[in-house]
Amino acid sequence: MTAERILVYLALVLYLSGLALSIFKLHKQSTTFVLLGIALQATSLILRTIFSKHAPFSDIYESFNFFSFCVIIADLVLIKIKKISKITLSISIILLILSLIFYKQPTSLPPALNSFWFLIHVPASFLSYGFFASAFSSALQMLFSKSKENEENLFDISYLSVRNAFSLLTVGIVTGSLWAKSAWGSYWSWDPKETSSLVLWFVYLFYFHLSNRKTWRGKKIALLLIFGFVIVIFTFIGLNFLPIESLHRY
Amino acid sequence: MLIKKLLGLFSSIKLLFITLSLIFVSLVIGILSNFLHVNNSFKTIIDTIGFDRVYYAWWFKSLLFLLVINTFACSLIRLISFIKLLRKPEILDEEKISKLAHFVTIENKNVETEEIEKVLRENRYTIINKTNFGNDKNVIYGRKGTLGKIGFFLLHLSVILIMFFFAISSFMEKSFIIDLSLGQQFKIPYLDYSLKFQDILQGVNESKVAKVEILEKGKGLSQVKILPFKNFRVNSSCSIYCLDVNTGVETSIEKLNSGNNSYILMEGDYVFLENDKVLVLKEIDLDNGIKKGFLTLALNDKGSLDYEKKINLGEPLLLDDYLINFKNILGNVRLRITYNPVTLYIFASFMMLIFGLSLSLYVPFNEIYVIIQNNRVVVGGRTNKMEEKFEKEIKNIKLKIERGVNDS
Repeated sequence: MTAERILVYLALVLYLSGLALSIFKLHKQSTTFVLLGIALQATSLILRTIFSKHAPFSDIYESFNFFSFCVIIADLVLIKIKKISKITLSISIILLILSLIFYKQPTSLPPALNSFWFLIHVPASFLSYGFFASAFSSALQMLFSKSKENEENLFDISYLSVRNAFSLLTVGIVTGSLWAKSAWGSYWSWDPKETSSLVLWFVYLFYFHLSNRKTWRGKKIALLLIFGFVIVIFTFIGLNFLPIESLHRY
Repeated sequence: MLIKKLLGLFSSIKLLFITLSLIFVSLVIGILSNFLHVNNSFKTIIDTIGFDRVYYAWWFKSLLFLLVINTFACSLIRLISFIKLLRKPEILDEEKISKLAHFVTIENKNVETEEIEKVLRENRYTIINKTNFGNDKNVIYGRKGTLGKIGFFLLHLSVILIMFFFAISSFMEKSFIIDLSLGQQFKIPYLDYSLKFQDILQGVNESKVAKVEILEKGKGLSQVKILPFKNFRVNSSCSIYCLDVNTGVETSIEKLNSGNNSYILMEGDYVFLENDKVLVLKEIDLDNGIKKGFLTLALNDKGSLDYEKKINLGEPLLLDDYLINFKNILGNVRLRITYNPVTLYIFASFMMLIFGLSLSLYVPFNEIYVIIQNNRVVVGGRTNKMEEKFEKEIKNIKLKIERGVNDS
């Protein structure tokens, strides 16, 4: 077993412990475990980069691992480590488990991915998914929130998440389009991933148009965010496992 | 009038929502229909409608077209409203103000417009419009953070520009694939540049790398490019992508009593012959110094292979009515040359989109409307950012107005 894989296992154990401690309301200890987990996961990504000699998001294992990392980092950036959400942590854990299920030995970067755009397009997309996960977490809490004040606070967090996610998704789509032009000869080829990313972009565009309307505040907007995250999962994971032709398969 | 009506129809957010929902549902059904392996009437209906190949169905393409029109109209209408706002801000009545996300009223208070202006200025609002409608009715419109609004403008403008340049690009773009043999030179059409395949080098992991020179007319050597599956620009309107660097076989295919065609084939290449026949070059074998080609002939468009033969260089092969001859084996680079004079504009529009989006999402833009009439003050506003903060600001303005009135 390689060192980077061992680190991923250790990070998983730490996250699971952090989640368990958080459930039992031991927040301080939970925070320490999660922070240690983040440090180990970051180290595993660095080691993977060194072993494979390319950025750590080219195959399915790397993608799940990097996505998991982006989810937790997005939450960290937004709501500070002391209040890290159990939902976000759970998403990150599930993704980390999936990465271990689909583990692959490091290989050299396929020629098709050997491009400057790879270093912008992929991380921007994954970070945007991470922020969308954070918005989903806030939306889910909004649905079950009983106090108006808490609901407003969660709305603000979800707004900040979507704002970052949407900007990064736009960067991802634009750089992807420019990359597609140079590699495949066309800016847009209606590939399933491209189409669902566009649908995703429009769903969150709706969010911005609706979030400042009185009638759409609260539970309604939370449902829209949950729907948006379903499309995120469909875009990232669903298309990869369905028997459809796509230029974006790992 | 008709244009206005059409613009109103297509700029509807509801229509956009319906179109997007239909696209999403179609995609889901289309993907799930791949799993339906039962041969029943439901599957037949799905296949007849075209869900099995949703991307190629005419109605799906129509939906995408509607989405494009819808997005274009939505952006255009917002651009127009922005320009109107710059020229002469729209004065909303109480009914419209009450529909804004932030809205408060102050009842039974007599207040001067100057006092309201003072309060707004204290909150760093610029008074853009002040209208007296008679009957003691005054409306004040103020705003702050114009940079955010400019971002909003740039964002919508860029969407329109991207669509516009994409449309032009589809008409003006010319793309073609060329094969260059070692030492061969090629003049790029429309440009004063030529390409010369100078050398074939050994790359890492037994890959082959091409060294290509770009020569500018009258100036000589301009650039040297080493190409393993890379894209490079000759100038702002012309880009070249290296599709393959490998060994190529110069092949002639002669139909008896008819014409003779020459091709450069690389491994995996195929040539369509008559009667649904496809000639596939499966392998080029250079072992033991003997140059051999491994031919596969498929007989129909389903790709079923029923003929395979190894033939040596210069050894003619007669297949039905065709005489196939491998004439030469040479280093070959396959390039896709794309000439598009609007590439730079598309790139600029993309950058404008990102810049405009960043400004409109991260720089606040607040608008505030105040109606003063018959001892009643109505304050309403909207923002593009942090609703909670703006809500507090509106409440603060309300408090200040009340306090100001009480003080007086």
